[in-house]
Amino acid sequence: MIEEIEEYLRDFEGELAQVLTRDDLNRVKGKYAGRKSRIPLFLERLKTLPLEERRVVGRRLNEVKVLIEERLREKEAELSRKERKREFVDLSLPGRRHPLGAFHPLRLVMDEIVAIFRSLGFRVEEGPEVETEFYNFEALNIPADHPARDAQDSFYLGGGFLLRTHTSPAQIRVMKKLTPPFRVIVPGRCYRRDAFDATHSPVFHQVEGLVVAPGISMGDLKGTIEVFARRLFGEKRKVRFRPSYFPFTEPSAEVDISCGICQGVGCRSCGGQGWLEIMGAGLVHPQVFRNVGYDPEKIQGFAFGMGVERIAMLKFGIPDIRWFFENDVAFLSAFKGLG
Amino acid sequence: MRVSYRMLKRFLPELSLRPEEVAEVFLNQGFVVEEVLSARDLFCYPLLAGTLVEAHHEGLLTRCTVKLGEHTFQVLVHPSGVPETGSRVLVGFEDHTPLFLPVRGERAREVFDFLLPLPPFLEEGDDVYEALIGDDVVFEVEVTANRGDCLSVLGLARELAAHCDIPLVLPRMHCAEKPIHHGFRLENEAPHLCPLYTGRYVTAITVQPSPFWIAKELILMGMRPINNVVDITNLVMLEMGQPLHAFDAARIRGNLVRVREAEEGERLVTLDGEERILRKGMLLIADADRPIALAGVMGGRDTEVGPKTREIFLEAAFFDRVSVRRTARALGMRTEASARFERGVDPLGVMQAASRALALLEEMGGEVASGWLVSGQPPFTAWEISVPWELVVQRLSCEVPQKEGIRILERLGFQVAQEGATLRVRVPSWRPDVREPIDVVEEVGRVYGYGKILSSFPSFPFDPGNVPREESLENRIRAHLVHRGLYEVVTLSLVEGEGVNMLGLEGEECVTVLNPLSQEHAVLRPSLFFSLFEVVRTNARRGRRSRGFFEVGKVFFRKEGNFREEKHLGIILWNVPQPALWKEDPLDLLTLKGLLEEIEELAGAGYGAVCPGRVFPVFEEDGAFVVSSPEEGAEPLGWGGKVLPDFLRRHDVEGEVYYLEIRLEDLVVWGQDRPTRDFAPPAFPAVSRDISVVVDASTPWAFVASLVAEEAKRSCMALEEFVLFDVFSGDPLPPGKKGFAFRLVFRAPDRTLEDEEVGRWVQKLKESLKQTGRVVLREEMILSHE
Ligand SMILES: [Zn+2]
Repeated sequence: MIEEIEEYLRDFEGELAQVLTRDDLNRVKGKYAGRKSRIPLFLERLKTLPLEERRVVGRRLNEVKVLIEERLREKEAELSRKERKREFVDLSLPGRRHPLGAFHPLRLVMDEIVAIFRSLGFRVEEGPEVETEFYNFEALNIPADHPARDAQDSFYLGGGFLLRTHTSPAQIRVMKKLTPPFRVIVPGRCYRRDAFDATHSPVFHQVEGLVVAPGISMGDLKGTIEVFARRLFGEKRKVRFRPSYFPFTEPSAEVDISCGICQGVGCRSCGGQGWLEIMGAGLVHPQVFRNVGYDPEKIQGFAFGMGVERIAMLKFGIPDIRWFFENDVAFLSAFKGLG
Repeated sequence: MRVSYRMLKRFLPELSLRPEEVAEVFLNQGFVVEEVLSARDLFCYPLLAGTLVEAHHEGLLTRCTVKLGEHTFQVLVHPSGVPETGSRVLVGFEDHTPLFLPVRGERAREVFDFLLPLPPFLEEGDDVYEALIGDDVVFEVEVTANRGDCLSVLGLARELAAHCDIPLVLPRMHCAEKPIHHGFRLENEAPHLCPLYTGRYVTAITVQPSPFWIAKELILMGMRPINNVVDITNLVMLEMGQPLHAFDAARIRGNLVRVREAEEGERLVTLDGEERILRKGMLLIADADRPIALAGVMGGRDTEVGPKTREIFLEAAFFDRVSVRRTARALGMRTEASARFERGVDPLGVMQAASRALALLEEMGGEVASGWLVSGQPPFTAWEISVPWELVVQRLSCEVPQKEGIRILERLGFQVAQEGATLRVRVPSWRPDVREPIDVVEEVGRVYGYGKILSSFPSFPFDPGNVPREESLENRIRAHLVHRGLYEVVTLSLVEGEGVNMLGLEGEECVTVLNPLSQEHAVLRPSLFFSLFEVVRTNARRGRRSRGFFEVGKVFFRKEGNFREEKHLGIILWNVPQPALWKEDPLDLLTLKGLLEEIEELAGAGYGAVCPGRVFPVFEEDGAFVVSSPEEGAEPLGWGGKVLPDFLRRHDVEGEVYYLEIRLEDLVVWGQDRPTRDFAPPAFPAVSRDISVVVDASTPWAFVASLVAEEAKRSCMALEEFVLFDVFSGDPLPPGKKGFAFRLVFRAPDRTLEDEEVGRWVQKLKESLKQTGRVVLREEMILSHE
């Protein structure tokens, strides 16, 4: 019987060497180690042997049984190792993902401006792009045949309508709609009869601001704009107010920020000026208040208006306004991950 | 407006600011200095004193020989422009070529109008820069529309006087008059357009080149010297801001100067040689027979002062701003004169300017006839403004000392009377823009310095603010589309009319600009399609690749005679082959519909019915859809489709293009007031069963889905939802058939469902599907190889 057992072990070793897959292994396992293997038969026969022989054969049978189990475990571990090797992941491959798009830089800047003013307690309103001549000009104290209209050559639609040349007519609409005190900004699209070149576009965007409350002063305007400009451009930037003229504000001011590159000293990027113009502003002209039925003795306000394209050009260092409207993917993808 | 530092100094002898400081003051007081030029940028270089040694008449011209040390230069000059032989004349050089009109960039020419005489104290060969120009600096100053008074050296000098607190000195304005008889008469037939017209007669005029100082100042200020008479009128205009005009008196017919409105079609050849056809109502100056000048814009050529002029009629007038502006615009002319009249000249400065010119003419040997020819009155009534000082301090947010404020106003020409804490301010005639107390506040603030304004922050009752639903929804949709791989774009809302036609929209519904600048930007877009397609085209042309673009923007049309603007969302998907490691989702009409559903879900809206329908003819006939609003009779919520391959080929766009447009405003309304759902998690378990059916390939899923929904409702089944998870066709299904596999999920709110009960429901559903005769259960289907 000992011979049979040794042969059993040899057969096992031979078949185990052939094992390549887990299926093979299971088959070999079933044949040599399970309930259906010959091991139980050997054990059965063992009982019939004389005591002396039984001890010798029994010990060997036990050794073989343990050996088989050990060899099977080894084989299984070897197979597992092999399988793990097949599952190797090349982490240097690009991830499986969706490509991302990007927001448009003009919308990014507009969103940012809106967010800053909203945090300062401003409401957001909208106005129509097709506007009446009256709201666009007369109500804002810009009479017909006034040289102030030169800078605002308009696209006319007939019947007293035009495409608004600035967001300022929204001041009139807001004042008619709301009751003071209020703080409002109006982002929107405007149109001027300008040829399309590096610094002009017939279609452009502005953000208008209007604060109306008793006792509003130039200091309130300056303080508000300073907070805004530093939030948008950075804490280090300085803000400068200088006199200007708009028919619908008095006193009127242009607002400059110090150049981000030279901090006001003057360099090539700011044309040696050290300062960059960002918006027009001023206290609301008493005539504008009268035009909407407010009493300028009792109520004051300030207004400001900024060109979104200009601010985006300054913020992102874009030299040509037309780039915004071409929407070349190579340009747009530079704004991935912003906003 | 150009002004030179030395001219300013002529008006401000005590000016001690350096040129760069002057530029700073201008900027701080509201005048942007666009450019600061050195005199050397305006004259050619070098500039030397030569001697006119010989002058020979050759036909109509004079051949002059100018000596400069060892060199001599020959030049042809108009006889009237030749000074006395032996006098010093100016010789400039540009690239070694002698120039006798020494303006930078001037080309060499065959014949010069004149040689510029130099003061006799110069020696031949002297450097004229050193002797007469120095290192003068020219400021190019931008003057705002309200400050006509600052289109003059006087006005700008006054600004500096206010800043520096120094006196302003006016140039000499006095001349000796002679009792000369001339017989000229004035007739003003349009006093409403010309409230004041004055004329002076000067004789014994010798037309010749201006003295060097006048020529120099004109060149510095950007004008060309022409002859002494014209130069004087120009110089005085620059000095005082009042345009003047000198007529050759001998050419005025009938010794009559008439101010009148033009008749329709009257003609006048202006100084620039153009024949102008006048329209009725344009203001002109005429003599007894014909127009001789376009009032306030340009003189006529026939009465121009020329070499033979001996006597002149000098006009100084106040013309209506609007009239001058309209005439100049209608004729497409903008002159130094019209620019000044448009903004308004100083009504009390009209005769002052004429006096200044007369003083200069007399200096050149002219004899001035005594007495003014005057029609009308200076249109000026003085007014006073009461300004409580407190108002200045409050509005400016800075403690301007009252004394300082008064000083500033007085230096600007205001007369100030103090009544306790209130100022009574009398406004000078050249400041019609100052009408109200707040205007006075600005004047003080401007000069005192906006830099001294103390910043504050407006404090008033808390405002809860607003975040309009449409704004937040728009932002969420934009963010979603960006995360889905699309690029947001911003495009011009003015498009080409041709683009509108290609969409087959009725032309009359579109909004057309009456005065477009170019045909490319002539129509307000009625859809975002053109703009987005143009973006694809631009990128295709440049070899760029992208999955697509979107824009939120307004579209425009006319409806029942009214303008309407609507906010739309346009999405363009572009399926263009490109190498990619990971396969992207397929792109087809269902991708487009998927985006629509995502957006509807973001809006909290229900799903609109998507039905076949072609809105734009650029879509494929059977590859387009309309999204109807769930509201009865409402306009569609949107539309989309696959763009015709033919159309793409015509525009050189490779790949496939899908387009979707959604009317955002309706979407917002649609998703409003959505009822809050019951958020309690279900208490009892769900039971799910799968059904697989086979139908004709042409049967839509909606057919099966509605049958299931109806039967579930009719039989009160606790059907929570059912989800389509497979659509299959081909082997082993016979051709022309397809299969749907869907999962039914049952759940009762109040108990655990019994298997048997669910089994009955499923059986019932299967029966009702079978009853239609169009649906076969997958398990009952006899398949070819079974
Ligand atoms: Zn800089």
